[in-house]
Amino acid sequence: MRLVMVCVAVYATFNAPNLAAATYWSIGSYSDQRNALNEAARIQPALSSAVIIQSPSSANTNYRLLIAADDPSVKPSLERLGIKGVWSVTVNGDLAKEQVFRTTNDTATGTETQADSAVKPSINGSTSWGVAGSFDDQENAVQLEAQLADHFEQVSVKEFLIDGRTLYRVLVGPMNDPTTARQMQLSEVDLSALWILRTEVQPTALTPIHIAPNGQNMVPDGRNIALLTIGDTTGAGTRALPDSSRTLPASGIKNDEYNLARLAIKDPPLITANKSNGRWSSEVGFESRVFRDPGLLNLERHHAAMSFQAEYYQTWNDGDDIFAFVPFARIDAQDDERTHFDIRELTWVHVADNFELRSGIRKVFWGVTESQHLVDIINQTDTVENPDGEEKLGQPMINLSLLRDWGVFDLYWLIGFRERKFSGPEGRPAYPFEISTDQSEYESSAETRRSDFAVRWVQSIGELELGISHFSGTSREPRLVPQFVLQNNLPASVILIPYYDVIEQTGLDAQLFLGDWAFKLEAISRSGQGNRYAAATAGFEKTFVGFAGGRGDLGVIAEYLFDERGAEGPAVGQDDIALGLRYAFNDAANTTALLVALIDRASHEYLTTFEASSRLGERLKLTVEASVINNTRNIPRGFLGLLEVQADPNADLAFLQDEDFIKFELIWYL
Amino acid sequence: MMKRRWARHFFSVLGLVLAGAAIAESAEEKGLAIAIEADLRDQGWIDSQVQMEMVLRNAKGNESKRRVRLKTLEVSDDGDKSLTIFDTPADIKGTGLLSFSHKQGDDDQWLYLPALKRVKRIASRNKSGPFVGSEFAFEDLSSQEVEKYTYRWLRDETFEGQATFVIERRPVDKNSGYTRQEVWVDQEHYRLLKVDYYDRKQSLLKTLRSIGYTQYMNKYWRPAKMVMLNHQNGKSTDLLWNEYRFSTGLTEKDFTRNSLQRAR
Repeated sequence: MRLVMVCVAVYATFNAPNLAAATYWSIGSYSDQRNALNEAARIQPALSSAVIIQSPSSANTNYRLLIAADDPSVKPSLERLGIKGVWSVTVNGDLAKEQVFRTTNDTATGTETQADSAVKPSINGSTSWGVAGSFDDQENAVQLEAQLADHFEQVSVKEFLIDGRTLYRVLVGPMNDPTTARQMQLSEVDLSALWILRTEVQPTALTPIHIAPNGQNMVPDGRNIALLTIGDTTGAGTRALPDSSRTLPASGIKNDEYNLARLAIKDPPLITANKSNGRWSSEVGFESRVFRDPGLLNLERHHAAMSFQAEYYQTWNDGDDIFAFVPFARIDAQDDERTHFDIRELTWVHVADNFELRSGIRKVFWGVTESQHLVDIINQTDTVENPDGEEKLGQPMINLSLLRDWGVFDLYWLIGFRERKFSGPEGRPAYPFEISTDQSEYESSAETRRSDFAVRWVQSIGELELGISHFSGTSREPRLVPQFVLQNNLPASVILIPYYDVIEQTGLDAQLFLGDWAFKLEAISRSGQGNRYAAATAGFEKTFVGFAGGRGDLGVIAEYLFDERGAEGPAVGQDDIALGLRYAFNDAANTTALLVALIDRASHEYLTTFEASSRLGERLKLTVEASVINNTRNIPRGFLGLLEVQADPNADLAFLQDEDFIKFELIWYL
Repeated sequence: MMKRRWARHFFSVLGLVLAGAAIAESAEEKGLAIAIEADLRDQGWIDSQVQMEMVLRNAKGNESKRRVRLKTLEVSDDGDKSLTIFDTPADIKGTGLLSFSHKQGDDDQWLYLPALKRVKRIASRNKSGPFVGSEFAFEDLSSQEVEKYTYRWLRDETFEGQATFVIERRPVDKNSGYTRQEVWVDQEHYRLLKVDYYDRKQSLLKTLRSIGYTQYMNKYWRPAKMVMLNHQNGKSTDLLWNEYRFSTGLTEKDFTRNSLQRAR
């Protein structure tokens, strides 16, 4: 049984120390003196220092509640009362003429203090109910309860004694309960009129609650800072006055003097509309590539292609289950190998409180650097789609993603292996030798049916993004083993046979932001392809926001690419420098451009790439890409020339010498 | 900064001693009090979900539109967390922006690029840059914390029939694109009705008007429309807010790297 605390306000004269300037916490400011008195009555019992009500003066038009700031226990006590918005006030001279507020109470008990301490508690420590309606008439409340019970599992009518008057409130919740929260998201009830009652008291204790008269005596007040705080007193809530503009609920509820219900059952809002119904979207791309020179195997300089990608997306269980299907097709006028179909995504994701289970064909990206992606290993690269390695084939997998305080931990079971695709003899840019993917060889006897495994941990620690990963399985990147094709027992030509080793690769990726600087590192250590080796990409991107006084942002990129294998390693990345400029125009068309020069420090060859894109209207996007090789040794055409390229350690990129191109692609979003 | 503020306090106190006044509420204190009060009145909504349409208009009147969904989680001791998902234009559909704003220092921001499946942390010192090509800068849309500015009350004024406080606020962060802002706050409900933004050269850059305030949950006021006009380039951006919902049951887990990736 709770007792109503009766507060008796006593005015006394405060003989303040005659200090030149004393500091006080200002804990409330009211234009109506009654509000100031009520609030002081409420908080004084919990405080060891006197609450001072400062009368209006020429400098200050309000009644302010002040409390001496020299007592260190004051602020924690105020916080326990839910008063967080305090600021310090320097008062010059003495407060002799000010009124000091003291309270006495005849039936004060601990229970009331407990209720007071529940005023505006922290979000985590409290329980919240949604108040759907407040009624004088219990029958009305029960009616509304019945209506809402169709939408929420937890609806109850509780009796409140406020100002000596019994009021029946229809409560939904507690709202912190995930089921209720879920139902609120899904509900077809207009919840905009719902207000939140927040308390630390359990729902059973809410029937009936006798409310101290403090909060209820509040008068509507333009300067009433503390109204919110007081309104949240256990059980009291902000009491809005009965309002003729409020609409009655759908049916069955009689007019009621204290009818604060405004709920209306209505059509589901837009957010629910796109929740359960699947959505299709699709895009068509038209691509034209122009090469500067005839190729080694294909002399054609103009290449045209089309692509089509669709996406089906559906969620259910309020977004906790997601299904996505993304088929992709490319038709290339010249290259049969590039004419291909792929399922980029066919996936079901289930979201639970602490984990996500993602099953099906998916794409996963790991890493931070720009010039190459060493750590990224889950998906096979779709080299025929784009030689820059950014396009990926879908990978069948089951991925368990654990969400923990110490980061996100992902476990991958990669089911089956997808071979790398290479341009055919008709395709460009092409390797100068035919790559015979029909004869691909595998270290694993399971070949493409092998299951691979990977784990990754990723965490943001302040300005640092850190990822550590390990992959165990068939290398996505084959070694290309040359084999002579014999004619009349004489070597007539060379073909390359892809050989897929089983590797172990540990990767680290890190990115640190220091102001406009982003420092990036990707490093791997791989075993299984010859000796264990390490490779890394490290560098930075510095951003100039509003470059040269304009709207755009300029990014300057510098990265160093290192591979321990040196000349035995890949053509690109053993001892190279990448320098780049990125410019985001920040215009309505989202225009961006990126220029990167990759400099091979050993051979002094340059590979310069440029890409830019801009939106045209609402449904079209134009992208331009170009790639130019400079400074390659001029190597004679033909078979002997090719052998020379292969043998020359200073001609890493020479095989691309005739493959300079510019590509235009127009994507139309249907 | 701290020193300057104390110095200001000292001089205001000194001035009042000379004037013989007993109590001092300086223009700075009054400005701060107004900001704190506006902030207090907007606490307790826990989380919100809303749909927003941006209409970008150039000086010739050509329009370009974006539709986004915005989820926000109220964080009591720090700036709010928000997740913005783009529905249109089609080429950026599914792009997500996760933002943890902070009372002090730079916000943390991650961008999700659905085509590459890439989560990219972005340099959030980029406060003054335009948000998706609009006239709103990142800092105009991030959570407005009291600590992000210093304040000064300028005058009381009747603005479009409403009694308002006109306060000046100066960004604490030196990377802000503004030297100062003048804010019209209505005295009854402490809503921001108008903001004038002054650029680093002290000249008037933009004006924001918030129109059609509606009260939700008997407490929280939200505008139906915000119009940002850039005086220097003649462009403007409208934000049209729809389907506001509060206390929908969002938690910290709806604002993670994982939730950013699955929001489409």
